[in-house]
Amino acid sequence: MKPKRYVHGELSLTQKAVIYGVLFLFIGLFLFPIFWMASTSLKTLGQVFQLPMVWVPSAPQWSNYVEVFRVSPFGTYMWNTIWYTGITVFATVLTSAFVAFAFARLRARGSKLMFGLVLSTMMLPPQVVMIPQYLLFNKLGWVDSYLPLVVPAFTASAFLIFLLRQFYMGISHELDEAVKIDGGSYFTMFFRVILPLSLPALATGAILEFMYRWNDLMGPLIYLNSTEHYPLSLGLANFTASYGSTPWQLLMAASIIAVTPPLLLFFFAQKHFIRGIVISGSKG
Amino acid sequence: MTQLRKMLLLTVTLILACSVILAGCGSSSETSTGKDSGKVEISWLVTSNPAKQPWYEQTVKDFEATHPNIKVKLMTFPYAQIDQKIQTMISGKNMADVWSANWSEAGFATFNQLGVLLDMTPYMEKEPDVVKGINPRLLDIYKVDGKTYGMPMLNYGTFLFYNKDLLDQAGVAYPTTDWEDTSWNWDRMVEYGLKLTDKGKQQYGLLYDETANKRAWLFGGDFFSEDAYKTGKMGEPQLLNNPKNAEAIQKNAELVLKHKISPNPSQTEAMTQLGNPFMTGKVAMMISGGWGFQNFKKAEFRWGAAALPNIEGRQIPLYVDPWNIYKHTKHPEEAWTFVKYLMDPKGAAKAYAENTGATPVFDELLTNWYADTAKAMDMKPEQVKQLNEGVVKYGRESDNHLIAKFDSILKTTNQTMSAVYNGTKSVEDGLKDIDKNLRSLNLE
Amino acid sequence: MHTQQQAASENSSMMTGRKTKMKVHPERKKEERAFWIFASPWIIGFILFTGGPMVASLWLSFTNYDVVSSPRFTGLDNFISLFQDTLFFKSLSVTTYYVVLAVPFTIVLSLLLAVLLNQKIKGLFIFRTLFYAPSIVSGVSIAFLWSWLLNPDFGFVNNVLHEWFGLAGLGWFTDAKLVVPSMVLMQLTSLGGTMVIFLASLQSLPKDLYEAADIDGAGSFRKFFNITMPLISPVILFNTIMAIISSFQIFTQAYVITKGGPEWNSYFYVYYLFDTAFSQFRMGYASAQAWILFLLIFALTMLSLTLSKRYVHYEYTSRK
Repeated sequence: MKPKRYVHGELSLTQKAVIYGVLFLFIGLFLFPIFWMASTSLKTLGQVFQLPMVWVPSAPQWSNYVEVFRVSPFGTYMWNTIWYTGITVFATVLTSAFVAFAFARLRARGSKLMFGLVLSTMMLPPQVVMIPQYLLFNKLGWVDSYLPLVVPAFTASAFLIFLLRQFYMGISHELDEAVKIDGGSYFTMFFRVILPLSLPALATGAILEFMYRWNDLMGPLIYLNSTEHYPLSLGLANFTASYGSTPWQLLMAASIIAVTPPLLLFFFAQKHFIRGIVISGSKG
Repeated sequence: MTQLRKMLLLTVTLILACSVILAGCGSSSETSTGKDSGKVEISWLVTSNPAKQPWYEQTVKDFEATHPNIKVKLMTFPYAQIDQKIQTMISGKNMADVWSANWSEAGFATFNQLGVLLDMTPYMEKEPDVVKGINPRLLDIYKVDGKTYGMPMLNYGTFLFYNKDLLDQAGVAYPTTDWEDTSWNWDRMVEYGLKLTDKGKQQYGLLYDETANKRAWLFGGDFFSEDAYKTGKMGEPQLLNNPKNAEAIQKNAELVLKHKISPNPSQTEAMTQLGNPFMTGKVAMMISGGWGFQNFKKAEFRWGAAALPNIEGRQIPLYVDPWNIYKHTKHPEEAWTFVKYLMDPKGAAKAYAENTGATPVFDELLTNWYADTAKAMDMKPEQVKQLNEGVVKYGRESDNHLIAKFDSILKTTNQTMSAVYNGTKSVEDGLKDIDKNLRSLNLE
Repeated sequence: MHTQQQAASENSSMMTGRKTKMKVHPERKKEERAFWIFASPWIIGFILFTGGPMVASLWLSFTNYDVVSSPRFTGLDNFISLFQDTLFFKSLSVTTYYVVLAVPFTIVLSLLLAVLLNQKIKGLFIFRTLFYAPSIVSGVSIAFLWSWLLNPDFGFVNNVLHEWFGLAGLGWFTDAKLVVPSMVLMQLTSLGGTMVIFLASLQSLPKDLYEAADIDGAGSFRKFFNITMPLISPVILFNTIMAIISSFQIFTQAYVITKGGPEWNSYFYVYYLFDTAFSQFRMGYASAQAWILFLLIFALTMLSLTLSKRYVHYEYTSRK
């Protein structure tokens, strides 16, 4: 492992054995959903519910994956999701970092009340806000476009503000003092000190926001009407059918395609948010 | 500081750019409503179904080709979330122009009570031929106070499906397709079930996928008054007024508790949404809706269909889905034109039956459907005809489509039923409980 | 909450000697202005998009609104009927039971996994990805999967119990006593997000404290409880509050698997709210339910923030 990261020292053989043991104990359970999806995606519909369960289908139906693209504009869904997720994640993380900085580092009258408000927006069940919000965007003429989904992303998310605030509060004040002594502004403090030091936290926030946007079904469902605008989440949900006639093998093939990009992203991005050691910066 | 300015500038530019692009997208679809060329756009809302989607798309294409002045916007939404979608659309007064009120948990009666369905009577009076060849029994379902609010498009009955492989193994004869055959009664079905149950193999003789009220129907009982189905309001529950109700629930509980030929119904509910337990090959007989005819075509075993047991006064659930028009539609004429097009037994309705396998409502389309369905089961077309005619004769529309907000009624009922099926509550106490709970439901 | 923030800032000013500067008035003003500028994205969003609908739902809670006709003001009627509604109390108690089990379960297990995945072992990247994987799959699919796995008659788990061990299967979702614990168990596959947040905070811990502890001969457990826990306490607080908020709003699992049963034992608060809103079309009543839940969560959050004052340490310095 190349990247230098902090580990609680070297492990003894027994410690390693225990850790691997626990990890493998859990891994079966954690992998089961993915395995089941993959296995189902290669079955015929008749095999899907057969008992005893068919673990590995004898004649894997790779054609299910082709079928996914044939019966739905899956490529369009994918592209919509990619740009939608890209813009919203960038916007939300950036603006949330701004706001979190205010709450973590700057003192002002009313800031505590404001922070209370931020938290409280997460406490009201979204089901009752949905209709008033829909009426609002409907008035603005934004329905059936991405505007109601994208524009609010530029106004930060309560979850990320709270998360980043917690991280920012852990960063030593020594460095911002140095900036102040140099006559730098709060913006310099944010861009030169806080932002670089909190990259792992930002990356974590970005990953979580990415997963949220990638999977979000309710937002697109409420605001979009045209299939050509649909993101993956809605496209996937459209593989279900009433009267128990959902083609599970196709739904699962589509789901496997849909989870692959986030999985790859997570795998390759983890060294960025795991590189860590914010504090070591204070010494350099 | 300059860096900050740049960042801010960049952010603002990005926001603006996105808004402009997106606004462009949004408004482009807006302008396509097009008043310019005299073209009218109506919207058609359907619930997701990958098997039906090609038919939806083709229908729109064909319709637009023959009706150059009308554009149809097809909206497909997932079934599980459809109620929320429809509700937001209704609240914004921009519901789709044409849809099926039964393709949601809410159902026909709920929407009718909310007053969002267009009265189609005037259009029908002008063009009575649209419904020619439909059994009047089916047409009457969506008539409320003499006004028609929906055009029936398909008709699923309820049947007893059986796994031929398992019946052959147990050496029992296939049950009859004749609804009048009195030898095929409840006890006989239980007998079959006992022979077909194999606990060691986790194989069940009978899976009865039905709600408590509709189980009562089979015995001539009813949880609700006749009026409830007509007015859409539940009114006074009749659970304790009709002794047939207790008898029905008793017999059904025995399937689970005494004969042990059925899995606990409340336990299989989640599974039935997943797919069909019948498809596991571990269920010998299953009483379920007529959509089984399509779904089971994919089964890895041979199967067939039979009549439900012959019981005095029985009533069999039908699931007739209608096409509806939104009351506040801006283009009622065009919406009606489109519904008419969908109802054409020579055109769209025929294609629908052929492509989806759904049981058609037009007599002239049934012959083909009988032949196709019989082929899938390796039975005779006459047998399928006998099945379908019997179910229409004894059938009545499902309660959840005719009584408003039935979802809550059903949930209330099921909570207690699960205790009855577990044996923790007696049938008598269960019915009393349900009666009490239904009365405390605040449905307005 | 404010006291804890104050404590943090006092704490920091003592260490860095900012106290003297704080008194300077123009500086304070500048800082205040900067606060509003930095906070402006959220404030604008709140004014334009979030605040309005929230206020609207508060107003709706005093009305009768069926989504089609305009809302009719009914005063406190909704709240009065709520407090006479047995289902309201049932759903509240079921949900509370769930929260009490799920919050510690989530926090302890995801912290445990994060600690394990923070060790020097081979295949770390793959392990982390695999443990995160189920969190990517949508909640509905996961719920379906569990309902299939734990189905009493046809499910995989009971099949294994039956065929391999000859045991009678359990009624995971059908036994009134088991249904809530089963739902908590299901959370296992949704730990990913919480785990990743813990992992990020573990990764940013200062090395020197541990080196010092090593010299003192401290064992792993002592290091964990004396160094790690205090250092990541802000993140523990964050995850706890988020777990409280999301557990109180649990819905999908019950909606997909149990339909609230058996006998209302998994009829969670938001599920009841959902039914009132979307199957009974009583938006006003649903809004009243929502605001009561809001008050409850709000109070609990404030309580955790206050209680945490003693245990949460916001700043750590590497020179001590």
